[in-house]
Amino acid sequence: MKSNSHVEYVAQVDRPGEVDVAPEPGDYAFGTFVAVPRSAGDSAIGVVFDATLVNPEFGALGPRLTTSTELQTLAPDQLPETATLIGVLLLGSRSAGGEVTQGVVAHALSVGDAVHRLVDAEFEAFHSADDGLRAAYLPLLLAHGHPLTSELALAITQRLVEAFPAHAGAVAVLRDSIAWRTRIEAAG
Amino acid sequence: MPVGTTKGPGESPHTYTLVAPDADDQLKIGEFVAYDARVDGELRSVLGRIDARRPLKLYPDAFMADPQVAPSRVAGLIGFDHATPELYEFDVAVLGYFDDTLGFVNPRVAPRAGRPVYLVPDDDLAHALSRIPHGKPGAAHIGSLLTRARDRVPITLDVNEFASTHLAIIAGTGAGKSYLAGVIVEELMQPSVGAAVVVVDPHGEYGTLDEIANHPGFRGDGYRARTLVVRPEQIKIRRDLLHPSDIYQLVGSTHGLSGPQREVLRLALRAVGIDRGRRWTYRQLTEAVNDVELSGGPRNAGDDGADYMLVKRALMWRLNATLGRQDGIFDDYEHTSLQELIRPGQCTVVQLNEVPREEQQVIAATLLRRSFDGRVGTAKQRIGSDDERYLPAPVFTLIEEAHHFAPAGEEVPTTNLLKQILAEGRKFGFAVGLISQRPGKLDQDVLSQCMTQCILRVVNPVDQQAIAGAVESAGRELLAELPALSKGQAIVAGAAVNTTVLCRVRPRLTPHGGESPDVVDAWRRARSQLPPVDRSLEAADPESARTPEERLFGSIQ
Repeated sequence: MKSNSHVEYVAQVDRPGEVDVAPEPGDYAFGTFVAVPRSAGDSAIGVVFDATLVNPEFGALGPRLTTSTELQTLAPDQLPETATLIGVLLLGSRSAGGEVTQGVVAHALSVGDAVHRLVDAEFEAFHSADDGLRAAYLPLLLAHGHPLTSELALAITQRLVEAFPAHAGAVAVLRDSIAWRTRIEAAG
Repeated sequence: MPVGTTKGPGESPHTYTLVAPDADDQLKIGEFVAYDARVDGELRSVLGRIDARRPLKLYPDAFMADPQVAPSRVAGLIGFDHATPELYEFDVAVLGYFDDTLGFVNPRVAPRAGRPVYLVPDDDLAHALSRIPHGKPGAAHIGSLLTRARDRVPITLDVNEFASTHLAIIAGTGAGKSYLAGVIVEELMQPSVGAAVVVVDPHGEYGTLDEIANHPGFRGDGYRARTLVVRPEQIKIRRDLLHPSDIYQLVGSTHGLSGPQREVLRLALRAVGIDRGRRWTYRQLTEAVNDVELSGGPRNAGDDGADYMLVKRALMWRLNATLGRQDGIFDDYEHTSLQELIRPGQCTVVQLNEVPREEQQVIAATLLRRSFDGRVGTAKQRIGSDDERYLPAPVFTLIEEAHHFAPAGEEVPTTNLLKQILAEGRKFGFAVGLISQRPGKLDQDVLSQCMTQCILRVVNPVDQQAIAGAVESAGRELLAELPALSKGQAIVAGAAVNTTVLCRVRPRLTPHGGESPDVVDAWRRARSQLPPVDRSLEAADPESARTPEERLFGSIQ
């Protein structure tokens, strides 16, 4: 829908009626990894880090002749104009052949690109490297400056600990360090 | 299992820093850690000793605002619930990899950052720290490594080293130096060693070593260690065996000798033939003092005969009060035999309590001089087995309160003798162990020539500086631990161990004779022996019934 920077985009969640099966809130929860396929066959990979509700009726609190229930009958072609917007931070990309790159994505997304949720296997594939686990995007994420990125990093590292038990020790070191900085030092 | 990770080079080329959470508080000061490194193509375990510990990550001060709330609980409230979040940085002194032939070999390269560091296993450590394994002949087992569980890593001294290159035991009062000295004597009396030991004991603390004779630990293969406790009244020194300097020291001990007195004494001693090794008696000496006058009188004695008479009379008084005492240790004919005092498998405790310090010094000087001369003469085959001074075996002499026998900035009969023994004794199998609670008052040359040092708790800053100046082998960082050592804990450094270690002294087999007395109990027992107060007298004399305060302040009221 729009972008705030080269790596930060805002997407609109599909509403009931726009697609066969509208996404549930759990599908675009905080920390959900998403993919944005592009025409070349590759995909940008990002993570949901923010959500905004849009309601044009907010503030229009005056009396109305028709209630919202009656509108279904009296004006069935009127579309509800509320929307849920999610902030997506791009963390890397996946080529058509499945090769993963983590860090800043070279090509910007386009308005109208579809955003899909990554399933667990795709999440693991994005983090798998020849020598094991890789989360090279974490410095980019922590440097982003959004107030929620530290909590996002903690959520991601916690999910990595569960998804990659063989590498739990290494990820836990990162997780604890981030937690110390964002929680203990911030509170002290 | 790794306990930490190397961080990088330390402040000096032979140190590195190590970062570790140390959740189990294993990485104590003095603990030994190692990392694996490839040296000349071979994988080696490079040992190091932890010298300092600093916190890197601790809870903020604000989390400790309420003593009743643990900072971890505050952290838990904000979502941080790790049990051991602390992180520490350690300074490690590199010792090197241990080679059975060469000892510790320093690879001369600090470890790269990120190397896993592990605690050195007990067995490897015991092998690397002590020059001779516990239980082998020539190993004096004095205790175990302080940073490990008791008796897990035994610490032994190489008897050959400290019994030839000398030993120093330094500690503040009550820190356990005589206890440790007793442990070392016990080790020297083991059947595997059977040393000839002499203890100069100015406080009578070592008499309990006579238990050695009855203890089964000191017997084996036909060997049975024995202890000879020589009390002051049993010591006899023949006057003509005294060195002139001993006599000057002894006679001038009370108020010093004036120049004329010293001159008269010098001429009298020459007249009896002390410089020619002739035998003489006390009577001959006093007559020689008189003869000095007959032969023209001393130079500078005075302008007239009356002054000279005063000089002679004062000298005679001093001679009679010291060298000539009938009940004293000096005799014209009797002399405690050297071969009786010094023999292998025997610990001789020369008790000098109740003896004035000047006499102690002269006794020690005579004993040391004659036994050293005996060893040198025997080693050079100048002395045969028929000579009273014949000493065929090496001798180890422990000197308690060594600062009385080699004081700093003062010349006593033993000072130069000790310096000579420390310099030359190794060649002739004659070693000393110096025990002192005031290393600051001990001659620094003497202290620095003791190649093995056992240092227990020392609180006095002057003494700490003296140790730091004289004991080069113990690291400065470990010496900083001196005030923090507990009773029976020692820093052992020098030639008899492979590296400086913190040692927990083992329990004695024989009772310790230097225990502090229970003064409260002594007072209680003494009070119980006093006659009961006669209350009838108090009734007859009201004044006696009043308390001392009432007697003092009664008139004011």
